[in-house]
Amino acid sequence: MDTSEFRDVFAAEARDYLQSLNDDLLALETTPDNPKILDEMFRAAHSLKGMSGTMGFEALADFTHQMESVLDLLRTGEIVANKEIINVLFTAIDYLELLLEKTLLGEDVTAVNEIASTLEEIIVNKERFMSTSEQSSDLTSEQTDDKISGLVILDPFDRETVEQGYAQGYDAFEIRIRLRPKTLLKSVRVYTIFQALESMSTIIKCKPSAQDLEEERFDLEFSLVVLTQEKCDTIVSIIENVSEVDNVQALAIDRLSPTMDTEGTAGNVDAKTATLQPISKANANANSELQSEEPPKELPIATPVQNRGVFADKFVRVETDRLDKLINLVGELVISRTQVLEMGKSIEQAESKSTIVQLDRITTDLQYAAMKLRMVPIKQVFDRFSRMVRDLAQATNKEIQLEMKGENTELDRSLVNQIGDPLVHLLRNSIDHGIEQKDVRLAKGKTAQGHIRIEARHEGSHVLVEVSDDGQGVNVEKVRAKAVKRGLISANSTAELTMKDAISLIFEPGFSTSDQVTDVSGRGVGMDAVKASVEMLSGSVEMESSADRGSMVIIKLPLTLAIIKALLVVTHQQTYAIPISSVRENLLVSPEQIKSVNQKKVIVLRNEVLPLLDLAEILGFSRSQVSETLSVIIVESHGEKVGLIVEDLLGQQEIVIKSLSDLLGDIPGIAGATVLGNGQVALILDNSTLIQKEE
Amino acid sequence: MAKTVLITDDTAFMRMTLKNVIQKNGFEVVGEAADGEDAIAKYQEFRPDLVTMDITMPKMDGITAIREIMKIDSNARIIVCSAMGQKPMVIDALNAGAKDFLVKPFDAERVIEALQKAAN
Repeated sequence: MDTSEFRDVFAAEARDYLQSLNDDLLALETTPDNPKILDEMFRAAHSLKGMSGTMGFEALADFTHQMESVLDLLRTGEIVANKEIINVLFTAIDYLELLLEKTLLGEDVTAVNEIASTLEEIIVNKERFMSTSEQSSDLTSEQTDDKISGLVILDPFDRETVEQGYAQGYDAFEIRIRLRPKTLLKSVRVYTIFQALESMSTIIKCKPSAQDLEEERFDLEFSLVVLTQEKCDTIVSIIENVSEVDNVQALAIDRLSPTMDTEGTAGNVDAKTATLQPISKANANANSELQSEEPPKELPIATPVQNRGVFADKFVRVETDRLDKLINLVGELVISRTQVLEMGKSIEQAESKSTIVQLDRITTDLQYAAMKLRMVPIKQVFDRFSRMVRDLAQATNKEIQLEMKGENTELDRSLVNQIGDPLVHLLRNSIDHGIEQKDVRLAKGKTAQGHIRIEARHEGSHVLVEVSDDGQGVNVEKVRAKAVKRGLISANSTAELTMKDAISLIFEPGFSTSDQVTDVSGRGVGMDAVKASVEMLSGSVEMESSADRGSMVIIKLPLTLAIIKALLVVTHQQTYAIPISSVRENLLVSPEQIKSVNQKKVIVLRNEVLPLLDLAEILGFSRSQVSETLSVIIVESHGEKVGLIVEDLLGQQEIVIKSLSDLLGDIPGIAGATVLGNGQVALILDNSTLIQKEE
Repeated sequence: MAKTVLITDDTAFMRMTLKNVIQKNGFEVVGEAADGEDAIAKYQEFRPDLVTMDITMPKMDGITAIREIMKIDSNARIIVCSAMGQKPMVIDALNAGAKDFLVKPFDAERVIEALQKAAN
């Protein structure tokens, strides 16, 4: 069978599966025995195996087969997903990705390597990875056999509530409840359980959240944390007496650490804390082995298992080339529309006029609909961040929680492709320079776990992406020292450096505050690189920081790059378009205002000396004729302002960017071309390369 | 002694089905009511251990009837019977004092479980 025509579909789908394997594994790390996630992962590996086999990619199929076998052992509960296995799976996924990309490139690959043999080892020596509950049966109750997954993670606030409860003679329990399969009106059933508990306890937390329970966004299991003066057994029997409850397990919450005790101890725990402490201590040693097997509780973020399938019918996969062609055609249509509109001005006939108005409206709608097609959720970029943050947090020995918001914010595909690297850089910065080591954080009275937040949202015709952390903020002293060393500022003038000054220094080319070049960030690419790449996308970067409270970087991007607002200027009888995002202002300058420094023309604008360039000259024409006054446009690029002399200004207009054909290639100073309303072609100037070219 | 049950539903068919299941499992059906008002009257008459209460009924709906019966006897053990998609009404009924709920179409085991648990 000739499978080459399915190659692209295979590649796209295989990458999707890899991404979901990655996401699921991250989620599994928090809830190691979640059967839903394991099923999902097993299916993904299984599908990958089948697809690879069909394509004739033997090495891929062999390797995924081994992954599938390990996942099957996990799924059936023959082995337990401890830290070791999860780490092996992470490496396996990475290797699988490499294998896939190499296979797609047609390179010779073999599945036999050490990762494959590690997987093999797990399969052969599965006894070694058997469930911990069996190994330490003396500690677990008889109910452990149908273990319910999903540990509630207590945040500092909950912890405080629990501690206060203890102080007042209450006990805290985590109660895990499983409903019977086929339970109808699950949310109402949960409600009856809440009702039953109400009279004798206080529910301080539930997982999934109350809202998720209310909206039935859970399978059959959920957990509650309650404070009560009742005995554990009483609470359990009350819940057991509610209809359709399949299984109830109560675990005492240890007073000193957020670890959960087993029910065996819980039953004996008296309401008085005095007796509670020795019991916990006695168990501490016995439990330590168990605990080390458990995942670090506060660290990872649970990524929900995606519900694939439900949306499968709602989407079609379209080759991006076809989409781009459509956008291009719509662009042409928009230009023709402008031409027709211009012609329409001279038409008197009312009927033709209304037809033209209608054409105008439909074209505009079509243009937006087509643009919308090319919009993709920023999730595509965000997806890889959880994994990255996890790995980097491990590498730097920090505890970091990543919160992502607004993943479904849409922006143009071309932007999504290019915003990834700057965001990665910002996240790396936050992890490396922002979030402090655990002991430092605790000394400052912060939580041991650092918090990084990345949020995307629409604002007008822009998309904002914010990356913030609760780390140490920009260290002004360090910035000053480095800036002096780098010669960016003189040693004397730095008596008073404000946070604002420090931040603007960070954006200077070649600046890095890291003491040493680390693995994580600081390979000589600094914030200036972030700024430059965002500005290339016609966006802007801002930063706020406050010592010991953290930093926030805000990236502002246009919704799309295909249609932009531009300032039309004339020089040498030719019309050029300058993207409005880089234009700061325009002025009229008289010849006597032009000064000369080092034989170069400059103007002084509000005490700032700006180089003055003649656009005609840069573009290789003869110098513009000096008239009474000169039109000068101040453009900014890479933080530098330059005045451009032009002959005339035509005004602002929305233009459709067309790239120059491959024949012409990349011309420095030219970003592309556009067709104006009158049919004339105008070149779009690229200020960054235009000005560099001149320097 | 067998626990006594009052069945409330406006359709004779549903009453019959429920009665069949309930009697087969060791409960005694002491009365049947066809609407809320009827249920209140029969409750006072028979003082049953347990009541099954439909929600949508003529004259007086089940939720009002639950409230009224609870006023008469705060220890009344009432199980509300609902159709799918009546979630808000089930919650109202539970708040009014119903001990448990059943969702139609009834599953015999569920009916018995609800009765046994409510009787405890």
